[in-house]
Amino acid sequence: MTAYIIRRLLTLIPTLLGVSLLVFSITRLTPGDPVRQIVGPDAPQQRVDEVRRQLGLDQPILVQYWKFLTGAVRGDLGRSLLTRQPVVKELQDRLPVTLKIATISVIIAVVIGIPLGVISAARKYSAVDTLATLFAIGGVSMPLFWFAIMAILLFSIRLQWLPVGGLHGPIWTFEGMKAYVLPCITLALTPIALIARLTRSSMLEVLDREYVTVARAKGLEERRVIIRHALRNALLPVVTFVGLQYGFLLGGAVVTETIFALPGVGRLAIQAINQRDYPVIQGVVLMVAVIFTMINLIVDVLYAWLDPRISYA
Amino acid sequence: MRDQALARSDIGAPGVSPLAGARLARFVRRFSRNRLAMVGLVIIAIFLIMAIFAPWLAPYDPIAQDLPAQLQPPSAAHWLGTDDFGRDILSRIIVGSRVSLLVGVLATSIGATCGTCIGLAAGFYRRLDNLLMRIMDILLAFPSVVLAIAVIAVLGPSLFNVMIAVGINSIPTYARLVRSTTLSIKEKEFVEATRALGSGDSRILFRHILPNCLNPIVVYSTLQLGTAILSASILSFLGLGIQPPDPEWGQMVNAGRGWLRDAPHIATFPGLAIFFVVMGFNLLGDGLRDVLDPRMRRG
Repeated sequence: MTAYIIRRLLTLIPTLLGVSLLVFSITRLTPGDPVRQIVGPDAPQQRVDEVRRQLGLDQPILVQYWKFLTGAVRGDLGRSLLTRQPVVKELQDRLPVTLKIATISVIIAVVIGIPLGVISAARKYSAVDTLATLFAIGGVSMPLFWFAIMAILLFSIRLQWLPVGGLHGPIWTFEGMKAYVLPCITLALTPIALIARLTRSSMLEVLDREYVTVARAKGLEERRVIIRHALRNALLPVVTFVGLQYGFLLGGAVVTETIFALPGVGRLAIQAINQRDYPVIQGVVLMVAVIFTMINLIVDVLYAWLDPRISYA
Repeated sequence: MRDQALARSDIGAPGVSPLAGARLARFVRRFSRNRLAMVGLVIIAIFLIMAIFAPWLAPYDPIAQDLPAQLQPPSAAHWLGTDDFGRDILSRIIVGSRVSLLVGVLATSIGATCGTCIGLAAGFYRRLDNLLMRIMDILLAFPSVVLAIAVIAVLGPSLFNVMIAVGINSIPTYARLVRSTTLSIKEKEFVEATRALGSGDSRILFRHILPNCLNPIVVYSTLQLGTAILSASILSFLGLGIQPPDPEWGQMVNAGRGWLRDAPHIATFPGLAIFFVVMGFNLLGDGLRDVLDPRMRRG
């Protein structure tokens, strides 16, 4: 296992180097002069030269990349062109909100998705199964931004149960918690559908196995057969999938944070694009990609640890 | 002479078999038995007809402003109401279907074409395999929305750039799908026979291996069409796609956000259009997967 983890860590190096190269290219591949795009077409040449120097764009491309890479490793991603704050500081301020939304959403998705999938499989072709299947199809087809807006219309505007957007104090207070309800349910919708679907198919596969038949033949209660014997093995692919979903939710937070006006990393990215704040765009993309890659690694290792049948020699 | 004739023949290539007609009939029979897939097909057909005949079906000019008629709820004159500029929402949804379907088809084509070529090359040439797959790993290191944002940040917000951004997102999946099929097909006897008869790499790749990859490509593309439409609408909703006043469903939902209290219909109907068209492609894709590629079935 240790050898496998070391090998997986080594394969991360070229991937992260490639990610850094791609992120570095964001400002360099922009058509035309990126500095002109930042300062505007009518800005004086002196201002253009100043910003070019600030961004280090007056140096050879390899030197620029090396500085970017070594800076990123040291945690220096430059300064925001708008606020003049270090990009890392901006990310540090925003990341907790995004992580909270993604984590709560994953928990909601697991708590609803897995039981839904188990019930669907246990009562195959029943009304519950059909309803769960329809919910799953609806969940993966739903435009999240539209669902969020409809939820605001119902729960915030018509019923006035929940706030329209923004943060209203720490999450452990009642008002603070209410601000997270709609964003997290919105973000959890698609993962609930996907997890329910995967759990159902995984359960159906396991319920056909001989050891389940044996457990039933021994006279075990059906609930015990399903939970103690089938579910434990059926959950393996689900665990992997849940891990991956966590990474995807970090990206999905862009939409929910924008709609619910939450000060997270996703909203920061959209603001940075609209204001052409390239160092911040680079910082957000790099940070999310690194977190996503690390989650993939953890999921792979977890899978190997959970399933001793899998050989990673 | 005989060898040359054999080399020109299409060993192992599907579609030339005398049983092709029977296969097609069997496919139609099995597909038509899947009720959910048929529902999907009907939904897609409705939206396709709507897109093709949009100029004749739209009751009003989708861009023309009629300020005295602004924010009207659904009525006999305006079946789905009007927006804050007095524009007919039904007409904008009908014309917007052209944009959404076009983005879906072109973005999927970009992803399918690039991903298939990369997958074929990686699966066929061992020397390229590692390099190409590591590049795909780099693309997979970005959540799709974040990668699309990075692409739009470079290219700027526009409809065409949305297609590219959404298309790039799907390249790694196509590449992996085609690579795995190529790896198994290239070891088959008919490929060896074709090579022995003097066929070159490009002929083997495009006449013999590619046709065998088509089923998973078709199935994934149908599912990807819905995903591409959804992704493009997200980018337009965020203001990174098609710019006003041209109608696009995601952008229409965004425009309706400011009028939720007084005119919720502005945001409601375009969102429903996105939901139904994406669901149509998902149902159709699921049905095709069950018939064409049961190994990909998930449950």
